[in-house]
Amino acid sequence: MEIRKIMCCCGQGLGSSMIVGMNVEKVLQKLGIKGVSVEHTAIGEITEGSADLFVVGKDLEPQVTHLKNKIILDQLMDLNEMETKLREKFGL
Amino acid sequence: MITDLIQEKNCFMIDSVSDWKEAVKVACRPMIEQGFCTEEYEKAVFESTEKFGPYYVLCENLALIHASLAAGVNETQMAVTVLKKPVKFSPDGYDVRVLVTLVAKDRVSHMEGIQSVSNIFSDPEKVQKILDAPSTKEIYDLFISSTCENK
Repeated sequence: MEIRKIMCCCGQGLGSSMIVGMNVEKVLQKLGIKGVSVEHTAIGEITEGSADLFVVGKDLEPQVTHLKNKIILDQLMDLNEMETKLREKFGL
Repeated sequence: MITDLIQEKNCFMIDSVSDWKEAVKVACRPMIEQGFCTEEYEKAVFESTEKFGPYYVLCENLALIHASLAAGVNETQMAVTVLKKPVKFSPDGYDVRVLVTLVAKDRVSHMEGIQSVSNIFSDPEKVQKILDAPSTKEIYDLFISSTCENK
């Protein structure tokens, strides 16, 4: 499935999800991927289908078992991990 | 503007705190005193920490202390406290020396401040600069200058 919208989520939807969203944008830019919108919100507000790909930290993994297409980050701030996992999702 | 989000008078250097609870209190105090949030906000940080653990410890040295949008927020603002001696928020967690307090009234108004946090903590040299800052001026300057960089 084509990824057009990526939603980054954390507990409050203010801090780490915003940082993760910025990191997603940095990596997409580096990989030359365009036309993808990146947003952030609180974990309690997401539903399957509201984005094509969800990105969350490891601590919230138990709360996203219902989501099919997701990236679970071991290190929230690690751009290398982000790149590896985004490459995989985009088939690069 | 980043200069609306972080003020030099809200950058602090202190020696140490006795535990993570004191760290949260020290981080929230200037925001409460200046009316950016109420004591409700600090209470919400403690309640959320009880519930979810220290979700705001994002990497080595960094705690981005915040609660949700709802509790006791008056205006978006940030503060920075650098500790000489690290504190742990959980026994097996990271050593933290930089407390960034975030009070946010919506999901986007603090964007430039978070850009700074992200740009500083993804760059080991900048992290070292903060940890070694000789005065609060350098801490403030680094946050202001780090906002627009995309590297």
